[in-house]
Amino acid sequence: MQASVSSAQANGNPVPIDRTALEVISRGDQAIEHRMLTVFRKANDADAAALKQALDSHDMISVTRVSHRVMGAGRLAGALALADICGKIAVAGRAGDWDTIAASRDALDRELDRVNAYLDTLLMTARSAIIKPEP
Amino acid sequence: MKISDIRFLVVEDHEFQREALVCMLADLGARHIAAAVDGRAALESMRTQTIDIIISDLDMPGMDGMEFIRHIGEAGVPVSMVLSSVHDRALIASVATMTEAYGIHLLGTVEKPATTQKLDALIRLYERPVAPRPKPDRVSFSEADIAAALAARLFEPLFQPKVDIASGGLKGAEALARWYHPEQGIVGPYAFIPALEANRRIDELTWIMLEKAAAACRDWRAGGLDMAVSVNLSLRSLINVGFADRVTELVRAQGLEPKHMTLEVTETTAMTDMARVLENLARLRIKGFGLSIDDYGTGYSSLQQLSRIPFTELKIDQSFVMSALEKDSCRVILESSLDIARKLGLKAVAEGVEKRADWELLKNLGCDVAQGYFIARPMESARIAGWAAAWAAPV
Repeated sequence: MQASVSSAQANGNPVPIDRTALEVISRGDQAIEHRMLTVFRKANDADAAALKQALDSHDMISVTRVSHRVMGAGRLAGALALADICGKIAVAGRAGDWDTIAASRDALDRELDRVNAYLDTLLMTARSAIIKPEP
Repeated sequence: MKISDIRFLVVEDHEFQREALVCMLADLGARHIAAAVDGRAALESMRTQTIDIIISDLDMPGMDGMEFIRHIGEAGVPVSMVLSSVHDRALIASVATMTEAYGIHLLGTVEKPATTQKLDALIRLYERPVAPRPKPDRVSFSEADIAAALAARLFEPLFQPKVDIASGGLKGAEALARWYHPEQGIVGPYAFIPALEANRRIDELTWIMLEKAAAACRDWRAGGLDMAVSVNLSLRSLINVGFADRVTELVRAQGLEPKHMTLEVTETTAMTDMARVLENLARLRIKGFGLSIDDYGTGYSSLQQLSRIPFTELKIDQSFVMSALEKDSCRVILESSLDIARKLGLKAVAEGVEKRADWELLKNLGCDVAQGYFIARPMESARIAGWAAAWAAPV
């Protein structure tokens, strides 16, 4: 599965997580990186659910606040495209610009799917590697 | 101090961000790291353990960062703090000011995403124990005490050098009033200026300062130093229309020219008798005195003052200079002030220059003159010549 991630990069379709961001924090320790990505996946799920709920209920204050959170966490985890979309939503939220927020919804959903799929694949691969006995 | 001995508390509601901060601290060598999901949990945690450095988010459900900081500050907990937030710099800067206003030792702020390098740089600033901040002089003096001190001329100026940033040359010194109290020692201005103003006796102090500053300037110049002296002036002193003539006589009696003295004017109260004040100021300028707008950017009517008083110098308040490197808003105000000075043909003076980086910034921004602890602390008149001989401007 790691190969498919690499091939995505090679095809010019940048992966949704820039892993160098976490490599800096984990100093290349794969166990730490794995743990952090697991925590990010879980926290991001909760954030995404809160953001979608706020969007569905047109709650501008919550949209601004939660998108800000996702932006911060996304930057830290290397989910840069997700962070950019949420940054745009947060700015629009502060300006009371609901049109821009609504226009960003599709991009947000797509990027969340991409991030989750990538993380699920990556984490499953990492788990398999840990479980797999040494040859 | 070794980082392994420092006890950290990370206050962050976002699980991933909290985990990341803990990882970064561990990576830096920290061994004592506690974590809390909001201010309430953090306060709870601090009941059972001593914490040296708190790294806190601002926007948290439950008790947010601002309320947490208030509790810490009001309880007087001797702790150092790092503020970490994804919010814009102006907001973080405002909370930073609030943190310091609560008396908490602020190591700095981190705009998210935090990095190991950013944290490391701030943690290196930590020193334990946190020394209590020197309080401004709190001793209060009776009107009779102050009257006796004025009569005995116990007020003396200390002088803080003003240096040309481009050449490094000494341009002048500002006279700062001190009370040489027989029992309390040297008393700073906060202890007596408000009382003198309230009792309408500030004029008497002003004249003592003018006389002693002029005498000091005469001595410096006689010793070969081509420099001027600056004296603070309350606008209230300028209500007397004879002020300009009297100060001119005083300066000439010391063998000085009016150009050797700059009068630094601060407006802290509404200007009354504006016509008389402007008459004096116009006369002072015609005679050749320098006129400086002091503490520029603070108080009120600064811009209005600029439009109606013939200033020669704009003195940017130290609060903007000292924070220009950390706060975007202060840097913008500093740059704008320098721009205004340039466009109005005024000499720009920055006070509160405390570190080399401040000096470099001011040099790059084209400020004319600097004053502050980086250059020299206030000193007695007799020490100026020795200081000048030893002074070497940063290259």
